[in-house]
Amino acid sequence: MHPVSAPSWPAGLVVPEHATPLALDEAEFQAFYDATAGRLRAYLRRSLPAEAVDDAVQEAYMRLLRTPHAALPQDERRAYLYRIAANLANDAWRAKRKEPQADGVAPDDLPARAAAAGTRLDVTRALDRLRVQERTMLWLAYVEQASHREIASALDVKEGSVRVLLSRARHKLAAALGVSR
Amino acid sequence: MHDDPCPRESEVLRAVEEGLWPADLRSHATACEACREVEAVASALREVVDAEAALPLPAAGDVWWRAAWLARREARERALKPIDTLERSEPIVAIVAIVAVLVMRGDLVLQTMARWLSLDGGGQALAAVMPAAILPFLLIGLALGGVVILVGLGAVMAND
Repeated sequence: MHPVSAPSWPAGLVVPEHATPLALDEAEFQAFYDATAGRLRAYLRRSLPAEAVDDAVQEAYMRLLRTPHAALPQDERRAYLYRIAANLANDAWRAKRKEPQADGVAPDDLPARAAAAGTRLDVTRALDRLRVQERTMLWLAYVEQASHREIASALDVKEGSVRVLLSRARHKLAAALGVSR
Repeated sequence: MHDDPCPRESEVLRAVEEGLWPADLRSHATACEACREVEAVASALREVVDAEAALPLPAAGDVWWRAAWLARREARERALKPIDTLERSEPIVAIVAIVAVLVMRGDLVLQTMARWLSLDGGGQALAAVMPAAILPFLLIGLALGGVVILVGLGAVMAND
C-alpha cells in the first residue's frame, strides 16, 4: 500500500473560499441596506399585511442582489429596488382581490390594513385609497426625492409622463387628506 | 386642476424634511395651491416613515447571506441542467435504440429467438403452452419492459 501524499500548492496561490455570484459585496450591501431598508419597509407596510412586511423587505433585497442591477449606481439601484417592491405590492393586491371577503367589512377595516403605530388613521386610509403606482410614485418623489428619470425607471413609464402622473397622484392624496385646491 | 409644478416645491420639501420654515416660504406655501399639496403629502409620508423608524429591521448580513446561498444554488442548478436533461432523456434513448435494432435487424432477432425456443428446455416448455408464432414477440416485449424498468430505476436513483 502506497502512502498518499498531500497535494502541494504553488506558493502564493490564493483559493477563494466562498466566492459568491452576487454583484455587491457584503460591506457595499450593508451600506445600501442601511440607507434604504427603513423607508422601503415603511413603503411596503402600506401595501401588505403586517405579518408579510419583513419577509417582503428581505425578498426585495434578495431579488435585487441576484440580478446584475445590484451593480448599478446607487440611485438606479434604488429605483430598481422599488420596482421589485412595487411588483411585490401588486402581486399582494391581486392575491387579495381573489380572496373572498366577509360581507359588510370594508377593505380599510380589515386587520391587515391597520395603521403602523404612530401613524394617524386618516393618513393610513388616505394612502390606501391610492393605486400601487400612485403610492410608489409619491413615495419615490417625496420620501426618496428621486428624479423623474428614476421614477420612470422604477415604474416602467415614460419619463415625460411622470410630471403629470405625479401631479395627479399628489392631488388625489391631498384631496384624501382633506387638502383641496 | 393643473399639472404645472411650482418652482418652490423643492424648498417646501426641504422645509418639511428639516422642520424649518422661513417666513417667506411659509406665506408662499399658504397661498400656493401646488405647494400646499406638496406640504400635505410630504408631511403625511414623513409621518409614515417616522412611525417605522422605531421598529427593528431584519439584519443586513442575514439578507446578504441568504441571497448568496440562493445565488449559489441557482448557479449550481444552471450548471447541472445539461446533465439532468441527459439523465431524463436516458429512457427515451434506450427505447429508441432497441426499436432501431428491431427495425433494422428484427429478422435476425426473431430467428435467434426461434432457435433458442427450439433448443432450450425452458423454451420448449413455453412453446408447448403458447402458440410458437407469438412467443418471440412476447419475449421481445418482456425484454423491452425490463429495459424500461431498469432505466426508470436508474433515473430515479440519479435524481435522488
